[in-house]
Amino acid sequence: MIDLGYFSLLLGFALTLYSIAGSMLGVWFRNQTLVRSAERTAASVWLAVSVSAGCLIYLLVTSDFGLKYVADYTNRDLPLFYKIAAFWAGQSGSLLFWTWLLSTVSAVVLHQNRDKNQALMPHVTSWLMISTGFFLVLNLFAANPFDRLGMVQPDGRVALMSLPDGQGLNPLLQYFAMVIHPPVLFLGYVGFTVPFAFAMAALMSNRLDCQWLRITRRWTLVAWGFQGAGILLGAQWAYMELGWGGYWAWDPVENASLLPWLTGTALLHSAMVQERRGMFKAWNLVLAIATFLLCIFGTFLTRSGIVSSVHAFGKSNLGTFFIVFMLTVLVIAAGLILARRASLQSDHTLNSLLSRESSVFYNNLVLVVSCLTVLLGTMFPVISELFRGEQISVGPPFFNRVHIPIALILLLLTGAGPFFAWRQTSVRILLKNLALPAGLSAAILVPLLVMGIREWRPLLFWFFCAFVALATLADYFRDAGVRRKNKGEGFLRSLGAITFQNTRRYGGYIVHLGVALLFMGLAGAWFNQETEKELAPGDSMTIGRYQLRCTDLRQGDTNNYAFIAAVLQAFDGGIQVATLTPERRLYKASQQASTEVSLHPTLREDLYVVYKGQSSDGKKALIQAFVNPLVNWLWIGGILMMLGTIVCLIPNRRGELLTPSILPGEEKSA
Amino acid sequence: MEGQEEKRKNWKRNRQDFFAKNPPDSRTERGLAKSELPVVWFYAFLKGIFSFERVFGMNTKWKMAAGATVIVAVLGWLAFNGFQESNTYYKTVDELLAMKQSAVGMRVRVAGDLVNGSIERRGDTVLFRLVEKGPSLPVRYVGKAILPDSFKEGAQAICDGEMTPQGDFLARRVQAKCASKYEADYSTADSKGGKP
Repeated sequence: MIDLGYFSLLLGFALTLYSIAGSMLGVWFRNQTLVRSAERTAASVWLAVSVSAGCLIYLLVTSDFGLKYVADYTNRDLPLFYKIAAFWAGQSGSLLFWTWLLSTVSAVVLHQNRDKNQALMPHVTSWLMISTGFFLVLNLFAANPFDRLGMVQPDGRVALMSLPDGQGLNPLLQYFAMVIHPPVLFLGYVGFTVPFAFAMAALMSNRLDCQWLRITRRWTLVAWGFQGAGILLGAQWAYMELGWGGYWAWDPVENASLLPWLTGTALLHSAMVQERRGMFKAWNLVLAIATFLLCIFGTFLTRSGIVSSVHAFGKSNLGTFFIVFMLTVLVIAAGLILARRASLQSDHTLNSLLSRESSVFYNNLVLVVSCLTVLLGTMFPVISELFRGEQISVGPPFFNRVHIPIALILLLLTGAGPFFAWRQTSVRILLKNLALPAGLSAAILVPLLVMGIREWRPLLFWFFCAFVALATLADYFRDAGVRRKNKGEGFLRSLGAITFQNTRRYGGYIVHLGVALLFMGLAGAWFNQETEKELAPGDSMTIGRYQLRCTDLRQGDTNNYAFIAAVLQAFDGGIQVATLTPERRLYKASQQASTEVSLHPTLREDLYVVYKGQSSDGKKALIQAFVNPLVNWLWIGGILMMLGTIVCLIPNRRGELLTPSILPGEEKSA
Repeated sequence: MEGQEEKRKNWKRNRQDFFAKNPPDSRTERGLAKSELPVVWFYAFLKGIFSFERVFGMNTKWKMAAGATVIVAVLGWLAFNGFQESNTYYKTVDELLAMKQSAVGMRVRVAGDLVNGSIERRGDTVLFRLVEKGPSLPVRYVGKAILPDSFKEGAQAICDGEMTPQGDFLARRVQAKCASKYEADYSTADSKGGKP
């Protein structure tokens, strides 16, 4: 099995090389047969990598501890579910998983376009295969999951060996969200390869109209959706597993996943401008390529151990491969964009500051500044080491300071942007659409002020969130109302009908509503409370409006871990609302401790309890309690964003009609 | 709708008419002293810069660029502030001891091995020493949070905090490392996270 896995990986690499060479030479010599065969080969790479991945899963499930990877990340008593999940728990396995996803995506893209876009496709094939090839190189030469365990004999030879049991999966990873988090995030990372491959293909074939954007719009959306979901799942994991009461700490690996999402968001918006107005052509290419490079960069950060992080894999020698690959792509892409700059002239110029184009411009500006700040902050230890010879790191204040105004500007644009007409908008129309939402949002602040909330920043956030939600809903409902009047249908029915008539527009609205809820939840973090106390059975503690009474301290044992736990009854104003059992576990195979948070979630706030440790005499438990307002709105907003993304993906007649870049009666303006 | 170019032509024509009717030297004839001319010019200059025509008739591209510059400048300034507030220097035990008083008041992260027999608990305070190669650094940790399980003699510890003028290190957050795994004690961390 081990040999089969390894050789099929080698075979996959050989096929990749043939496919790259074939498609390039096929274009050069205009040889259709060669191009075709390269395409077929690219699809067969998927088969080879799948066999390899299947082998690794088989080895993991059957607990073959002769394989280093299996011994490092599983043990016999690990549940089957986690044994399979161990496929992407470690460095080399997750890279193989990545390669497999990439080859799958490549095969699907090639299948979708087998009879279409023939001018672009050979280049697309070669660029998809170049990135697949890069990951295969990593798998084969730097992080091979099929490495056997070996022991050096006294005579210097290496003898194969097998262990009786493995070291077990890191307990922090034994959590449901953590099991699905990597595949989801990886799909995001991998998905952004498609717009990149088409962007490079457009550059190489000099077909720089918006065709490449139209083909890849759905892929970009899918990748963006998965990336967003992956980030949120990661935050959820941090919240539930790390037990420090928060979900985002500007950790390097968190930042790495955020970077391509930010440029991807920018791309989704600026692509519309090219579709409608033929502007931002070079910029869109830059964004597609940058997003891909940031995905690779994110992997590089996570894998090379260049900056330390709670999420990162151990140190390794992968760094050089990544740097070489990223620089090569960067140089080729920059060269191509410069060479093609004549074809990248805009069809139109900006007419007015109050136009959709300019709102997208500012949206992109802010998103890119955000991306650069996060990048700078994350890499600061490396940069300062390079220039000053000492490592300096920056903390959350650096990121928060910049991102509070960025988030506010983005919220303003989210609410107002859809009301900016293409080319030019009058102030009167903007006021007509936005005055009421703005006024109502301000009115919402009054009860909050009466409640005694004086922090101006969360108030500002909530004002803008309400503004986004009201402005978006007002327009949504107005459109539905028009249809209801015309057709005499029920309100909900017309709401559904207009949504499916123009999924791009209303899907976007749903995403925007999700964004409003998400930021509403984020702003709740200003009012987090925290306290801790040692409790024996019968003792109680107070946090916020809750009272926690300890009724029991427990100890126990399972196959996988031993645990100590406290049973706490939570009272809110004398009424029992929940029984919480925070736990501390010691995993047997890995000899690692981990904490199991216990949670009482409500829409208003989370009561979050952690078992921090035992007192020295063992009779008391140190309990740390948090009250985190509005956290659940973050997840709800995230789910709404995903729903909106799915709606955007549904094809419809109207969406196709919207795309012509020059509408009737719209002349080329000077 | 009249185009950008037409607007500009109209404006130019109007200006020419104005100057034809009011030749520049006619102003002094209105009773202005020559010494007052710079004031008039300055006023005209300001009016020229901030006139409605200048600000709102400016090329859209320039307006966008101006807006972008303002946004980037403000964000850059905030980033610089945030940097000053949170920059932490990574120092080794030896480097920190060599810096003596100059290290006081600087946010530092220092890593080293826990000296055997140096851990001493006094109520909320934990005293211990970190060593790398040469002399050891006395560390004081005051916190209600208990230290992680892996915080034992012989383990590696990473401390965030600052040097006091007395020459010991006041740790705000202690992470312990054993067998290449970190276990952080986040409770006293200032990274309360979550804020956008």
